[in-house]
Amino acid sequence: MFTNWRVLKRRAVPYLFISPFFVGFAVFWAYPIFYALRLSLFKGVGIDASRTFAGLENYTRLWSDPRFLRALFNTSYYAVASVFVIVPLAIILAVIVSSDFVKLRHFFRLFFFTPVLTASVVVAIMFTLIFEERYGLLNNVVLSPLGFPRLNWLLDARLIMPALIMVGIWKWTGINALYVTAGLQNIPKEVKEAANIDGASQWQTFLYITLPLLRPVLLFVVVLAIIGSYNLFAEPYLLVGAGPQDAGLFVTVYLYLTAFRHLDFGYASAIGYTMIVIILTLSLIQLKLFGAFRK
Amino acid sequence: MGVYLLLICGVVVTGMPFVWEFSSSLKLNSEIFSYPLTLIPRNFTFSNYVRLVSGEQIPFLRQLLNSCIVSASFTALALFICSIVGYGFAKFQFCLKGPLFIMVLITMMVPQQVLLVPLFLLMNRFYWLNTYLAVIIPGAFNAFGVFFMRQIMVSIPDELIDSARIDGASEFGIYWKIVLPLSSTGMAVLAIILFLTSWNDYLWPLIALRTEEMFTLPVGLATLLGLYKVEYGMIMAGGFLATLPVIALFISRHRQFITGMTSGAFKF
Repeated sequence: MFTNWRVLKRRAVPYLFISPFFVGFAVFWAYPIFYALRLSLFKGVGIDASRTFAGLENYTRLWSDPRFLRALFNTSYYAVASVFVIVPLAIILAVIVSSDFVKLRHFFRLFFFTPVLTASVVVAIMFTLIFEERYGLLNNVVLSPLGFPRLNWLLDARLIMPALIMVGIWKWTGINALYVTAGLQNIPKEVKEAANIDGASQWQTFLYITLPLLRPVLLFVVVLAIIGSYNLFAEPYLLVGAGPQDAGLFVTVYLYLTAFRHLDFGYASAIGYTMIVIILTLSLIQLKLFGAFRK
Repeated sequence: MGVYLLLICGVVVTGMPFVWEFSSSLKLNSEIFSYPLTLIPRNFTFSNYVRLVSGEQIPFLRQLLNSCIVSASFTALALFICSIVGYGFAKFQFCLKGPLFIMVLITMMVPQQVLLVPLFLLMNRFYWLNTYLAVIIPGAFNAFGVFFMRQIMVSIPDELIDSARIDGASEFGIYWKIVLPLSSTGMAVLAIILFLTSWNDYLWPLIALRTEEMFTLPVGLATLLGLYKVEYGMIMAGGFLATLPVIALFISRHRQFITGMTSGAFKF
């Protein structure tokens, strides 16, 4: 009996060590996740409202809700546009910073990194004065001198998305360049030298050797960027809110407004679950496209 | 050459918002909204800072304190949880290890959005709304942190641990006196990541905190944007002050930041 007790204690130890996480996991993750699912199947507004079972009504309502559809469109547009600009820019930046300029290189890396450290709220704050129509930095320092008219970035339905995309580019290019730099460092020099010896030009080496070898890093960057776009909240919410005809409405903002302004928790939960499905599907598609499942 | 020109452009574009924010914070609103735009204020003034800190619009100092308390507690708690759980996964063999670790990873794949509503209602039931608890506790169970600590601890030689066991050390003692000190560099990186995530967090504190006195800095500053008569100078001052600790931390610990970065942690 004595030895059995000892063995039991020994076996229990790892479970004891990992238990803190799983206690929190159960209370603050698993329970809420299932609670949200349950919520999404009920109708009823308010915190202590009596709820009536509504089945999948919240979900069907989503797909005929013009605000949700607009938000989905905006967010997706933002995701695609920012990826198409940020990734090439990051690659260019990474190549430049990785090439042989000794001491300054470290400084540049650090410097381009700073936007990502800045709180979203502060970023929004900074850019309100940049996008301001009459006295904003962008209009007065870039557009006017070049002869362009002053643009109303945050209030013109056609300009809101470009403005937000610019903010995204400003914030995320640096860190993505850092990721790509790490990826570049993992490419052994010999491979590029071999290509050189075989007569490949710089450009050909880059296109046919470097880029394919960067595939895992690029996949990582793109997936992260797209997921990040769908989770974006502070910048659109603080710079634009919803915007004229919901031109700047993002999905997370809509979820927030539905839940905490209209207090329609069931509908908001349905939005949340729909987004999980969409994001997971997109991630899987990207993984497939980038060949993560190939040998 | 042209390459340097590109880099300089990049530096200017990256730095300009910061510079403009700082410059505007030292101007009166009347100068911010006047032509021509000036980089160096014509009429230099500290009034924005004074008025901000004096609590005229928002209880700035109180909110700063809130952020400090929340971020420090959060980082400490999360570090403890992630390190002890990471150790469990790194250095022990047990039946359910695989499936349980997968459960940890799954939490990282689910976006925060879904949790906002139910967690809010849960915090309401616990009576944690508008308290520090709501912004410290739930997030401290951080799957990424567990994953990160596990990776770090895996490379600690098993012999060290075994010999400590033979010498009669308690399991917790081994964790506390041997494993933790050996993981300290990794923990420093994680600490920075956790602190930053907490310091900059906006959406969840916005939901969980209800009165001005309890707001963290990002939430408090954001309320300045919605004022009827927006005090731009003051907002710029606030933004600058809120970023100062981060920049200071960055300059002093930039190596850890970069390491943390390339482990893919920053999702804000």
